[in-house]
Amino acid sequence: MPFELTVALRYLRSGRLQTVLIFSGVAVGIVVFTFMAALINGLAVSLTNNVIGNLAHVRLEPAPHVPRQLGEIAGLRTFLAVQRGNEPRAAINGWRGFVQTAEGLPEVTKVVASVSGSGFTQRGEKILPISVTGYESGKESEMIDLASGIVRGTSTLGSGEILIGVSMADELGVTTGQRLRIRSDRGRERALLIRGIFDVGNANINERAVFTDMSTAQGLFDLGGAVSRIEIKLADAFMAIAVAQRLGALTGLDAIDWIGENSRLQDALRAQGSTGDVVKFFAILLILIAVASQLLLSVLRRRSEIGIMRSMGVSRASVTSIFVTQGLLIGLLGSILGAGLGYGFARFLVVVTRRPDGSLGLPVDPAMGQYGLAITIATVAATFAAVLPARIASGVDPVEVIQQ
Amino acid sequence: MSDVVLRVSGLTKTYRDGDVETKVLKGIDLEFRRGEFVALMGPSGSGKSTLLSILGTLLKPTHGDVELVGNQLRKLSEHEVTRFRNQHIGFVFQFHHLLPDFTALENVLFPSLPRRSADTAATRARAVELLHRVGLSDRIDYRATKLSGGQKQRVAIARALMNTPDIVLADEPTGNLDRETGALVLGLMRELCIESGTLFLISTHDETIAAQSDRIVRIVDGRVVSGEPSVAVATP
Repeated sequence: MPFELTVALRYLRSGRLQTVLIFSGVAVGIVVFTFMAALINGLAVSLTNNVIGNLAHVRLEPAPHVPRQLGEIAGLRTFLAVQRGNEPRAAINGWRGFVQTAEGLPEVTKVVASVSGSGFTQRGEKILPISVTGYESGKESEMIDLASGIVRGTSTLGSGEILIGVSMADELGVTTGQRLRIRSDRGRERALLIRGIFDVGNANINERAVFTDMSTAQGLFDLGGAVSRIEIKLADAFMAIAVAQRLGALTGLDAIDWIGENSRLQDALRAQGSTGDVVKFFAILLILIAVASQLLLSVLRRRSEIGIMRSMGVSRASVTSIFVTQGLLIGLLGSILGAGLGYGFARFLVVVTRRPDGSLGLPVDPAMGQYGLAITIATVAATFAAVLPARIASGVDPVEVIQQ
Repeated sequence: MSDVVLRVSGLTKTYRDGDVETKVLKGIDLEFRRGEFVALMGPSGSGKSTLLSILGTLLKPTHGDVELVGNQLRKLSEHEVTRFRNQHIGFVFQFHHLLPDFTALENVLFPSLPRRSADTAATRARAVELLHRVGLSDRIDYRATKLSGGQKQRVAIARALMNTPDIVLADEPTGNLDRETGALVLGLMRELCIESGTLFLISTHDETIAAQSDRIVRIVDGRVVSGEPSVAVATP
């Protein structure tokens, strides 16, 4: 074993109480660090899942109409203008080819074409604005997990059947087996059979969304065999920007990613992450100060021993190494201990805050505690903290010590 | 001429504190031979400890040369001086200065540690042999703090000899011991000097040590006033 390590270990072992205290200090700092990481990252995942759980990660929509000039007129400058709202309704024809293109990308897990539009439903005196979405039969739950959210009836749809949210059903006073009159923004009107009532935990969807099969929706919105959009889920939702860019280039359609559409969520997650980083920074700073002050005290206490070592031919570099090694050992072992405690603490919170329905009371994810990062940063910080005491130790004058 | 292990010529040392200069050594010329047991005497403040520190390479002289086993110390870099001190010089201090967290054996082994040879069986055997030689075979695993004053000083002597140095510098080695223990320690040093052929240079106020030494070097006010062989004990 190297001489410096031998002495460093002996010093740590001999100052038992101080060693226990400094190890505890480092461990507590790492518990704070890893708990904050597990909480902030868990919260970010929870928030993101809540938001994108009912969203397509990427949507392909028809490219907006751009007016084109048919030919140049010599000597004249031409201006073109589009009056919004007067263009023909945009739709995707030949959508099966685009679906196949999307399914060919490795990042893509689910692709479903849909028809969507707005309209009204009326029951008695009550008129509610609604959004209607039609999916291919059997793919109703690909984007929104309607099947799990069904509270009455079934999620499987046939022609002329609909699913409505629990809030809408309460508001209109309807239930499964009854028909609901729906009028689309194209003026088409049909009475559709309520096949199921869902609660997906999203107030907007529960109050306003109506799901039906694709052919029914195509009829409501005069789309023939076309669709309004192609909705895509990815294995990693945060790949949405890159995948959207690729699909846009491959299909010529307007590819929209969920990240761009939810910039406020991104801002909130970033702010939350920054807050966590500040807390983690102070936890590491405290470790740094604690290790530095502990080793500084050790140097002062062992001044005469250091002087004697120097008189016996121990070099300044070796004296420096002895104290830097102590810092490294304190950082490494203390942070491993802290990482273990932090993981245990996060697991404990998961268990004690779990609600009766199995959901988490506190969105802590023990697997996202950044333990490796915490150990690395704490070890580097503690080693760095030892440099000043080590330099002071290496500067001890043996003559001064001996004469004292 | 190879018997000369330490030669000092024109050695001066001046301490500066702001504008105040204090000349501690004012031109020292001395030679010491292998196996000599030399008492360095003089009143307090005469420069004994400073001379010992310079000879021990812990302090640099203001002027003059120190030649130790053929090496001009001023020509060595700090790193070389540190290694040289480890290999050629042993120290015994008045207050023993053992490392309290280490056992007697580990304290004796300590000077060998920087040479990365502490784990070899031969090094360990030498440390055990030295402890046996100073009469502490039954204390090798005792922590330094558990030893008596005399035992600590004997461990310090064994430690000073661990790397088979050419010179052992002792600063008042019996100054902190009772008369009986002091005599024991002094006798031990004398015996080891004869056995090992190591030069022992002992700074002391104790006339008993002087009486047992081969030579007494007296320093007064930074100058050597006499360096005659002792009349009490003949050179071995």
